[in-house]
Amino acid sequence: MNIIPLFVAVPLGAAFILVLMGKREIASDVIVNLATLCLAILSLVLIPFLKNNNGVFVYAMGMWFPPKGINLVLDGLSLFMLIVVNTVAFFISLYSIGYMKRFTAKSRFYSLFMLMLAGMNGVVLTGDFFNLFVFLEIASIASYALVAFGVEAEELEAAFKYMVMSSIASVLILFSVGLLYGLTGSLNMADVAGIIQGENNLLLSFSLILFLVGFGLKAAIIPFHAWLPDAHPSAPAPISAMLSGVLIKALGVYTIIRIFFNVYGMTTQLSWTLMILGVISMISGGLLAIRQEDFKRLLAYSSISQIGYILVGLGCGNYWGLIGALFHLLNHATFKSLLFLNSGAVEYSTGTRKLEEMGGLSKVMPVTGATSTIGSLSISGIPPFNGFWSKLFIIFGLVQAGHFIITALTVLVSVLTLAYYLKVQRFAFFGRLREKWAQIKEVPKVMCVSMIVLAIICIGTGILFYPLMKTILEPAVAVLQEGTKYSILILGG
Amino acid sequence: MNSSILLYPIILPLIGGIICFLIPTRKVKEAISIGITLVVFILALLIFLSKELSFTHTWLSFLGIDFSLRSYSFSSFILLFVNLFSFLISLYSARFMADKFRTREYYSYLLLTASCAAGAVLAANIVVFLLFWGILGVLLYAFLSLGSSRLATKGLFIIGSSDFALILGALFLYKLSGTLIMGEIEPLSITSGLAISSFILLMIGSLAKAGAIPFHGWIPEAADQVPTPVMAYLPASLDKLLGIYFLARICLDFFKLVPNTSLSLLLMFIGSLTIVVAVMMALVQHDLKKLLSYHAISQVGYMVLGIGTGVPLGIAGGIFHMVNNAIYKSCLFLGGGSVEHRVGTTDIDRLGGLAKFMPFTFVTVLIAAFSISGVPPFNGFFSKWMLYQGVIEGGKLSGGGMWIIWLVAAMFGSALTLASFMKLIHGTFLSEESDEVKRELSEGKVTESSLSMLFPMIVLAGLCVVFGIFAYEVPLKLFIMPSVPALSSPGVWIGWWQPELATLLIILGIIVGLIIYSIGRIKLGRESETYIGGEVNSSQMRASGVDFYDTLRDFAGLKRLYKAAERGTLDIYKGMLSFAQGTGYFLWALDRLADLLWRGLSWVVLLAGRGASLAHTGNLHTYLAWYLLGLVILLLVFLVGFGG
Repeated sequence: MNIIPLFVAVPLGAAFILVLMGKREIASDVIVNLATLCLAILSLVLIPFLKNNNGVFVYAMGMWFPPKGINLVLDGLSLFMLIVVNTVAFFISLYSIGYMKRFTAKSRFYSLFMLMLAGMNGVVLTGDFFNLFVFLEIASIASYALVAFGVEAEELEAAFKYMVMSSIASVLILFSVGLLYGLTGSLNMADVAGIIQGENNLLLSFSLILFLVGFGLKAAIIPFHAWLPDAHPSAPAPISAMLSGVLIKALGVYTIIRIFFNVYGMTTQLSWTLMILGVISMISGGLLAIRQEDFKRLLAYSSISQIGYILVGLGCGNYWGLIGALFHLLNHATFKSLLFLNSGAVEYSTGTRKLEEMGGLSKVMPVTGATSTIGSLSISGIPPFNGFWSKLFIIFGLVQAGHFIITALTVLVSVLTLAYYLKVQRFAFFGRLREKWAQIKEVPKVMCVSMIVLAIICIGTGILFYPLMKTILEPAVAVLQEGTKYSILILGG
Repeated sequence: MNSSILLYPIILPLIGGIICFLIPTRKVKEAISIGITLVVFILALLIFLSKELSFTHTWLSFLGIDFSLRSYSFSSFILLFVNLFSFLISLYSARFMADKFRTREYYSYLLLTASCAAGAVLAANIVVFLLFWGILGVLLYAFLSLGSSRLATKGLFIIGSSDFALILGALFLYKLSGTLIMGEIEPLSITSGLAISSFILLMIGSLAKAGAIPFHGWIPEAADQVPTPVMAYLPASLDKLLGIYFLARICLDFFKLVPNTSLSLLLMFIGSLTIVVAVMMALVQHDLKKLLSYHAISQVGYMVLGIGTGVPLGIAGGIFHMVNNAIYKSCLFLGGGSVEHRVGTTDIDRLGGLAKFMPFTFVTVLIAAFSISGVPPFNGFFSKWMLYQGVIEGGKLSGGGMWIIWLVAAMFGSALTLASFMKLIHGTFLSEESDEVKRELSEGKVTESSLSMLFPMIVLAGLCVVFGIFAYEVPLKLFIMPSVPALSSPGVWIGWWQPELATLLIILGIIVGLIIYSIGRIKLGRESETYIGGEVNSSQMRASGVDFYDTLRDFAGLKRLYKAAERGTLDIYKGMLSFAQGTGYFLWALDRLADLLWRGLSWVVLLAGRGASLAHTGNLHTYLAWYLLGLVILLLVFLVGFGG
C-alpha cells in the first residue's frame, strides 16, 4: 500500500517547506499540525489494514525487491511504534503552538522537529541496515540541533556532549553494519537474518556487542546514559517530551528489539544481559531521580529508570514480560510526554525549573496541576492508571519466569518512583502558594488541550487496557515471539 | 395457589422502599408504607391459610444454587407476624415520625427491612437465607445511624461478626449435610467436632440477632437514641422473631438437640443468665425506653431457655413466648413512644400521673406489663407456664438437679420483671404529676394520642388478652402445634391450666373484691390532703418510684455486679474492642519495627543517590570513559567464550 512511504515523505517534505516559511508563524503552525495529525490518523488507519494482510506488509522502494533493493516493512511491531510516535508527535506539535512563541524562528524549530519525526518513522519502518543507519542519523542530528535550540551556554554544552557521545555510538553502529555486510554480503535485515541463522562466530558476536552498545546509548541504558540528564532538560519542553517520550524508544529500544529478536535471535546470555542492564538502569535511574531539584532533570532520570523496566520485561522474554514491556513503552510515551509538557507549562508560567522555588501551583494552574497528578500516579503504577497494568504485566512475566529477586527489585523501584513523583507533587503543586506566584496564569488553551488529552489517554489506556492489548499489543508481541522466522516471513511475503 | 405469591412479600416492600427513598413528600411515603405493608400482611395471611408452597427460580446455576422459597406452617406463621408488625409500626409511625428528621430514609429502611425479613423467613436455600440475613444486618446499621454513627458502628460490629460466624457455621453445615437446601437436611446428631462447631457458630448468629447476652450491647444504647418505633420494630419484635425462628430451625431441623447434653445445657445457661442479668439491669433504670430495652434482652432468655431444653414442650413454649414477647414488647415500646410524643421525655423521674390524661395508653401498657410479668391470664403467663413445664420435663429425663437452677432463674426473673413494671407503671402513670408534666399540661399538650397511634397499641393489647385467654383455641392450635409437630396434645401436660375457667374465676374474684371494696369505702373511707408534718407538699417530695429498687444496687454482693455491668464487662463489643486494642498495640510495635527498617532503607536509598549523583560530574571525558568501560565489559562477557 502506497501510504507507507508517506510516514517518511510527509514529515520530510514538511521540513523543507517549513524552512521556507521564515517568519510566517501561523502558516507553519498549521502545516506542522496538519502533517502530524495526518500521520497520527494514518497510523491508526493501518490497524485494520495490517489485520487484513495477516500481520505483515512489505513495500519495496522503487519496485526494487529485496534482498537487493530497499524495503519498508510494516508489521505488528512497526505499526505499534508508528502509532506511539505519531500520536505523541501530534500532541507535542499542538502544544508547541503555544509554547514556542517564546523562541524566535518557530518555523526552523518545526522544520527540525519534522526532520526528527521523518527519521524516527524511517527507523521504525525500514527493513534495511544501512537505511536504518541513515534514518538514525537524520533523527539524531535533528535532535542535537533541537537540544541546542535555546543557544544559551547550558544548552550548547548539553548538545555538544550529546553530539559527541551519540556520534561515537553512531560510528559503532556503522562499524557493525559494515561488519555484517562483510560477513553476509547483504544489508537487508531479513536476508542477513536468514544467512546468519545458526551461525556463531567471534565477529558476529562482536557486531552484536557493537549494536548493543550503540543502540544502548540511544536508549540511554546505564552506563551509556550520561548524555541524557543534560540533553533532555536543556531542550525546549516539547522536544524534551519528544526525546524522552519517543526518541529514545524509536532509536534505542525499538532497534534493540528488532535487531536482537528478529535478526540475531535471542539467547539466554543476551536475555540476561538485557535484564541486568535493565535492573541497573531501573535502580540507578530511580536513585538519581529522587535527589534532583530540577523538575526536568528529575524527569530525565526517571526516563532512564523506566527504560530499565522495559528492558527487564524484554529480557524476561515470556508473553507477559514482552507485552508488559511494549505496553510500558506505550505508557511511558504518554505519561512522560505529559509530565515534560507539565514541566514546560510550569516553566512557561513561572520561568523556573527549580522545584524548591515552586509550591501550591495547583491553585493558579489547575489544569497543569491535575494533569501532572494523573501523570505522576500513572508512572508510579497506581491502579487503575495505565502504568499500573504494564508494571503488573512485567511482574507477572518475572514471576512466571521465576526471577524472584528481580521481581522484588521491580516492586521496590516502583515505590521509589512513587516517592520522587510525590516529591514533585508536594514541592511544585501542593502546599501553600508562594506570593510571587500569586499573579501567574494557566498556560494558553492549546497547551492545556494537549496536556488534558494526554492525561485522558493515561486514564483511558489504563481502563481499556484489554481491547488495547488485543488490537495493537498482541500483534507486536507476535512479531517478537516469532523471532528469526522474521526472515522467512519478509522474504517469502 | 400459585407459588409465585411467595415472591410478593419480598418484591412489593422492596419496590416500595426504593420509591420511598426517591419521593420527597412525606404524606405519599406514609401512604405507600401503610398501603404496602397492609397488602403484604393480607398476602401473608393468604400464604398462611394455604398449604405448603414452594417457589424455585434458577439463579446461580453454575454453582447449583437456586433462588428457592418455601412456606410451611412455621415459616408462614413467622411471616404473618413479621408483616403484622410492619403494618402496625408503619401505621404508628405516620403520626409519630411526622416531626422527625430523615423520614425519607426511615420509611425506605422500614420497607426494605420488611422485604428482607420476609426473604429470610421464606428462604429454602441456605445461600438465599444468608443473603437476606446479611442485608438485614446492613439495614440495622442504617436504622441505627438514625441515632448516632457510633451506635451504628457498634451494632454493625456485633451483628456483622455474628453474621460471619453464621456464614462459617453454614459452610460447616454444608460440609456435613452435603446440601444447601434447608428442607433436605436430615437432622444431624451433634457428636463430631465439626458438627459441634457448626452448631455453636449458627447459634451465635441467631442469638446475636435475637439479642441475648453477651450480644446485647447495642440494644440499651439504641433505646434513647433511635426513634421509638425502630425499637418497637427491630429489637422488640422483628429481631426476636427472626433470631428465635432460626434458632428453632437449627435445633429442630438441622441438628438433633438432645436434652441434657452439654450444648443443651449451654443454651439453657445462656438463657438463664440473660434472664437474670438483664432484668437486674432493668430494675435500676430511670429511663422508660432503657428499662424496656433491658426487658427486651431479658425476655430472649426465656425463649433460649425454652428451646435449649430440647423437649418439645419447652421448644413450643419458647416459640410461643417469642410471639407473645413480640406482641407485648412492641406494645410497650409504642406506649412509651406515645408518652414521649406527648410529654417530650421518657425519664420516669420527670413523668407521672399520666393515667388520667392518656387512659387508653395506660390500659394498653398495663395489659402489656401484666403479660410480660407473667400475670395470669395474659399470654405471657401461658408461655412461661409452658416453659417451666418444659424445663421440669427436661429435668425429669436426666434425673439430675440442674433443672432447679433454670427454673429458679426463670421464676426469679419473672418476679423481678413484675417488680420493675410496678415501678414503671407507678412512675409514669400513677404517681403525682411532675413539674414537667404540669407544665405540659398547662400548655394543653398532654392528651390521648391520636387514633393512628392508638390503634396498633390496642390491637397488640387485644392480642395479649386473646392469646392468653384463648391460648388453646387460637395461638396454640393455629401457630404453635403445626410448627412443633412433636408436641404432645395439651391434655397430657403435667400442669394442666385452663385459662378460660381461670379468667372467669379471676373476673369473678375482682368483681367480688370491688363489691367488698365499695361497700367498705362507703363506711370507712376518708380522703384528705397528704400531711407531712406541716411541711408544704412540694413536687420534690412526690414519690416517682424510680428509686424503688436502688437498695438492690447497694447490696454487698450485687454492688460489684452492677458496677461491672455498667462498665460493660458483659458487653461483647467492649471485650472485642479491648482485644482489638491489644492487637493494635502489638501491631503498632511491629509497625514501628517495619518503620525503622524502611527508614534505614530510605537512608540507604538517599545515600546511594548521593553517591550516584556525585559520579555525574558533567565531565564529558568521564562519561566517555564509562561508555568505553561498558563496551569492554560487554565484549568480555560475550567474547570470552571465543578466547581459545
